[in-house]
Amino acid sequence: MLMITFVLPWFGPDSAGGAESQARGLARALLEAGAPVRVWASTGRDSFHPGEDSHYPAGHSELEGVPVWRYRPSPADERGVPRFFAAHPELLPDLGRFTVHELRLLGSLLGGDELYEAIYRERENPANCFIFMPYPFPGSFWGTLIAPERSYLLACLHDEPYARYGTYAFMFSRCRGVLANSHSEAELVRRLYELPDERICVAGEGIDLTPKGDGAVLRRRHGLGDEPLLLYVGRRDESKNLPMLLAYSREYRARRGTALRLALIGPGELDMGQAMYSPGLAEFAIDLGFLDERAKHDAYAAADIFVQPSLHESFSIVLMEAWLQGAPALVHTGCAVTADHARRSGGGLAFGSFGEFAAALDLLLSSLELRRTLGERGRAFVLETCDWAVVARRTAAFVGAL
Amino acid sequence: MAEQHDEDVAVILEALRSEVRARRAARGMSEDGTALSAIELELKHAAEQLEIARVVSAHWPLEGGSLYERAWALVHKVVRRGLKWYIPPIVEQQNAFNDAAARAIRLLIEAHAELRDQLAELRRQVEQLQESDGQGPATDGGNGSPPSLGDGGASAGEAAPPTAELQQLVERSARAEPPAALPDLGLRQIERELDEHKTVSAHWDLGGGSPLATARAFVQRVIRQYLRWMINPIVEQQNAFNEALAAAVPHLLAADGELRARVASLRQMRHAALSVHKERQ
Repeated sequence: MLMITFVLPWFGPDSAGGAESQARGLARALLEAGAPVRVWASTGRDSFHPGEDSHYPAGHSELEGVPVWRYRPSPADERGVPRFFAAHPELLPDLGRFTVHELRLLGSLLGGDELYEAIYRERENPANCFIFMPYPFPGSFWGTLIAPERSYLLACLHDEPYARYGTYAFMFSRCRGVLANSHSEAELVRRLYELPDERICVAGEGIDLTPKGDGAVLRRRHGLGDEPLLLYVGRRDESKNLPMLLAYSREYRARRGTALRLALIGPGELDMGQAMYSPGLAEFAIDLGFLDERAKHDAYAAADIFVQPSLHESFSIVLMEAWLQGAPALVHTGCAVTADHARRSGGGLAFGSFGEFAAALDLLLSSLELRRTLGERGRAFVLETCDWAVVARRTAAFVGAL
Repeated sequence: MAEQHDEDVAVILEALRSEVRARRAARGMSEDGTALSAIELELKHAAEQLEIARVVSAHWPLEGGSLYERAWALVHKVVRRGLKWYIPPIVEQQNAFNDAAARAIRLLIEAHAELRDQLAELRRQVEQLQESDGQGPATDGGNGSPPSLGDGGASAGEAAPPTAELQQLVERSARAEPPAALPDLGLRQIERELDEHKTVSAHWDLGGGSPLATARAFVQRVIRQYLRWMINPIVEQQNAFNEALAAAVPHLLAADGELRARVASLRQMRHAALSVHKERQ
């Protein structure tokens, strides 16, 4: 039976991040589906703790039944090329096809020669395949070049300048197949890299479908009363378009006089400069910081509207989690993935300007019935598409493991 | 040819500067006693001055009256042309920073003006509210209440229309919403540009492909090595200023953000007061 080897920068009980959660969920679901799985990652913690490169011990361990091997990170040479290739120059493509800064970007990200050695040893093994994720990391790039015939990319791709780099276009052209989290992501892969349909599979992504949040608990705990509540969950910085959400909410509240509250949930400390958050916003924008899973689901259940302003998502787990708890969503039209989710599910509206943001809030806040209906549509969509067992079966079938 | 063009640009710039200075002086006089505040005038002048002064040129006219002066001007031109590979790239880097800095200040001035407008509008509405006490309902300034959403929204007990229809309704309704300026969002981009351009370098790679280019690069490296006693301290001082200016902008943005939040809060309170007032009447 074919062994599926996940390769990603970080993996472990303390590792936060979308790709890390996805790898954990998918590896577990594949095991439950009867497919042999293992994970290869670095000894680092996660992208939120860049200095902690030796957080986990190197070598073998196990997480929730999934065998894990961790490798020590090591720096690339001055060009950005791993030193591993000094012993295997025949595996290197013509580096002249890539620009200097593209290679240097790879060199600046977490990778390691021990990992490349391990991939090299398994490159001819017909009973193994690799799933590299997410696409920008050196493990994915160099790993795909070392073992192209056995490489699948679980890319987590979104439309950003990096996606157009020559290095990544080359990697996508060399891999055996691409697993996309959404139809929009698959469309982007087709458009950017001209891959044929048979090399792309929309496997989707799963979430835990069992949590049941209690909105009253969260409102009570944070003294939110029964005021209309918008909810944002994610990194509280510019990369997720949070400054725009804060500015739009501030202006909406000023124009309408609504006693609207906006709750922010996310890992780490709130960086006021990054989020464009000022103390004067505190009377309506409340930073709840990092919440445990139970409290997070309570927050989804408490929200009148869940807002996902991010422009760069390849799936958006938090959007699915919010729908699972019946919260209607507001997404940005500039993000093809979340806008497509909202369109397919009927669980949310999209905005691309302040006018649309205000009109959508006017509409949704005016009718509890409407919010409930949209929330139910979203929930039905999640129950139908985000079951890990289904995602695991699609994934295993695509890579030939079932 | 290119040097001639640069010199023409410098002459034109100088002419423009003189004209703007004259225009500014004339307008300053004519605006005496108008409604424009002294602060607004100063800000306008500051913005104009930024536009005048932001471009550094390494190619000002070199002329001479007497034969002796003309001979020296010729020598200067030859030296300037000989250093074209060195000085203009440094100047261009500084100009990129100056451009971003001037835009940052202009945007901050505009953001300040927009905040003043918000406060003026707020004051007008409060006065109107006071005047209208017992004399009929006050207006809410045009964007206080949600625009009508027609009959597309669902009320209690009705089945909600398909989401696609609701989306169309949102897009239609959005057209009636007065635009929001939100200049603070645009300023974030400028902050990044300042960071990107704040360090001017006098030491970029001088490589060459062909033997001739390699030889030329070698000579240029020698000249650069010699001239570093003069050029590097200038670049370092300029970089210190660039760094200080780039570091000041985030604080200005934070101050702007805080003022904006407070004004928004006042507007929200004004709206709530207006609702109570209407109910009372």
